[in-house]
Amino acid sequence: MKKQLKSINYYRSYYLIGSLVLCMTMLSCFYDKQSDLTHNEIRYLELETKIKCPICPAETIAESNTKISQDLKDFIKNKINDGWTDEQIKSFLVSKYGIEILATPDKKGIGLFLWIIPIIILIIASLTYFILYSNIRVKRRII
Amino acid sequence: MIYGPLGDILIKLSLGAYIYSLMSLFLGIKFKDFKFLLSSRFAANIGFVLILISTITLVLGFVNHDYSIQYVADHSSDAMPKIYTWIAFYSGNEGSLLFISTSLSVLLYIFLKNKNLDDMTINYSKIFILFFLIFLLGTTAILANPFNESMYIPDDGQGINPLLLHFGMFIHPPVQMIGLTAVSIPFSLSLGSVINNDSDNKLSLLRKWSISTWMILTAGLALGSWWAYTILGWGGYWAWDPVENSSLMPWLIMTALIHSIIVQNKRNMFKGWNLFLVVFAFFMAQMGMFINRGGAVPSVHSFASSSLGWTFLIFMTISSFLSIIFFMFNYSKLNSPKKVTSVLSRESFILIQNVLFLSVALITLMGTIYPVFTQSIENQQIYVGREFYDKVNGPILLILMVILSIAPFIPWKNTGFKSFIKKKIIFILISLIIAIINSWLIQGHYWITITLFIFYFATFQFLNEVYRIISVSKSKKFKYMNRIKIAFKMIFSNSSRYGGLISHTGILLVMLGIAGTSFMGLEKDFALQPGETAVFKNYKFKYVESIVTTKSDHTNYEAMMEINKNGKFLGTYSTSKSYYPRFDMNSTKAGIIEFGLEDFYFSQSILSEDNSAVFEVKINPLVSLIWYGSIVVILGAFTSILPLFERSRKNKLYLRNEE
Repeated sequence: MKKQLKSINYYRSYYLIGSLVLCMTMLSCFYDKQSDLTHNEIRYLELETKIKCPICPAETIAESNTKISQDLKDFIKNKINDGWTDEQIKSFLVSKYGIEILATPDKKGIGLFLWIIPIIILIIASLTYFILYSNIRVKRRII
Repeated sequence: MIYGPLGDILIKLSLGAYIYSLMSLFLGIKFKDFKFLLSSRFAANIGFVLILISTITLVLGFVNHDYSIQYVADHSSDAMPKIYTWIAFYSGNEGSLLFISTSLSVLLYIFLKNKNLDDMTINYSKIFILFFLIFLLGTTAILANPFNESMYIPDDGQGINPLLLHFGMFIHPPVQMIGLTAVSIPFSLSLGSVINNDSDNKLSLLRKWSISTWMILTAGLALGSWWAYTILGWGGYWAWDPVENSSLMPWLIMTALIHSIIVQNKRNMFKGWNLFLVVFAFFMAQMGMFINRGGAVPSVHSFASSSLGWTFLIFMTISSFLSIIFFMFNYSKLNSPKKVTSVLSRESFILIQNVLFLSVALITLMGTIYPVFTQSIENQQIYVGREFYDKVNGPILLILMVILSIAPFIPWKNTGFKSFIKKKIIFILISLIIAIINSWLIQGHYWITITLFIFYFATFQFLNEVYRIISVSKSKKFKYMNRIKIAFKMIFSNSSRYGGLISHTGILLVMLGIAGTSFMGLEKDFALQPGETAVFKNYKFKYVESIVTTKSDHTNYEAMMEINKNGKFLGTYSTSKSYYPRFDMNSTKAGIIEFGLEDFYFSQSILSEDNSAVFEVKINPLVSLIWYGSIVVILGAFTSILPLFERSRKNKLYLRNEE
């Protein structure tokens, strides 16, 4: 009897949680991203974080307020409206300014190894887990 | 004036005192003679006082505009308000080195306070701290002395870097610097305790120092991102800039360390692993100092750059080399008899967490120094930006969040897979459903679904824990006030566990804030004439006018904006941009208006002759959760090390475990 009572008490917490969740769900109704920006604007926002400002130490054109990054922003906007793809715009800028215009190198050529490093590190990490403490014996519990 | 030579002498005397202290410590340990040990302690205290006075001397030099000191002439001016002396003090290379040395000597003083002279572990640890301190102080006194006299005495100084004139700069850089130097204390302490074979007794002390260091590093990171958000004018708080990375890496490893110390404490495992972590954290802190000063990688934090990077590089190389040798010689002491017995146990989860945190740190390190490699090998300048880190580190950090939501609630040793699933299935189902509904409502990316799922899953379990506390205090028929008292008593009786849970709640809030801004943030540029109105989502804003004020050292352009939300007038807000001709530098102050949990952010990027301006407008939902969450994290960490000074009875950290 006492145990039953306790479990009822326990499930009351789920009602509490449930109501909280409902509130959060209602709150999230206020956000809808897609309806405000057009497809091209979203493309532009993504692209401007991938192009580096040529004269700033470590800022992308999205962050920088210099004249040249403003010009580059306008260039990207125009080219998007002209129907260029992201790849075309990027490769055009690379051919003009060199690879250092990209905020992050592509997965080819000089940047390829950069993208391989995390995979190597994760493999080493899992090996560390499994080899260093290899005495893992999963006990099976009989129920 | 007298400040220059006086400070110079004081700093050299202090260096001498610390060197004497180290010598005497060696003799004391060698001959087991207390006189030497006492003399060493005394010398360290004298060194502490001397360096404190020399710091005050530099401050006085700033306050009295003593331009015969080169450093003062370079980093302050008559127009600078006196309150900014505090910032000017560490705004350059020499001053920040003096600041670092001073803070380390303060930390050493706190570390030695109330410690017995015959505590050999403390003495051994003191050797390492003194080595580091002498290195820092020697570099300051010989290579980068802030008290150097200028060739000629100018009438007015250069003035302070305008980007630093911000409230956040009063706290962020010093906290960050203290945090990076403080890593040396857990490092020295664990090395010392391994030499003295005493690591079990000193574990509580090590834990406290590690968590305190971690707390300072956390505060530094949070303040730094707050500063970036409000003053740098690009609307973000984290850019994966090399210097930001270099402060993040020690934080990541310290995070791993403070968790694995718990395992050593509870289950007497991971001794060698912990030593490795603390050595690695120290290495990363050195790396941070090197990147900050060396200028090997281009960064926005270039104001402390100098040619001193190589000294830090040499010190880092030597210290890590010696640490590896130390590790190899003491390997036999570090073996733990116990092993992890089950994948589904808390120690196993903590190990996975450690390994993942290390991976994030290593990936960040590699990304940070990759440009140096390409530069030196192929002579090709490239940059590694946020795309790389977001794509690689983002998923790993999400996995860490999954671990955060599970690990605090499963028992040590092992647990059956079926009973584990049975307990968690209801949480998993509810949170999955809610996450899907939620992300469907906001038409979000599938990453939002995953993030929200993890967030809800963790939140439910935390709420469940809160409910347990409440129900325990409820079961006794007490008055309302007494119930709160009992709840608090429960928290403090097991402060390490509940402090940890509070911290984790804060981390969840930070995670929600990051998810909100990166997945739901909106951004658009508006070109406006004065008097023109624009609409963005449910905001309507009118660019009223632009006010130009010219001061002695800068010109300020302030744009006023009237803002309506949902048809309700909210007020007139301003964003300003200052141009400092002496530095050829712009500093932007964005207009940020908080409405509940949503920020309306606008900054002007271009101002034309006819006062028309381009505004960058952003709506950042939930961004303030990042700052509030960080405060919760720090409070939780502080709770977990309570009581600060315990009476040394037993190494009793955990009074009671849950379940």
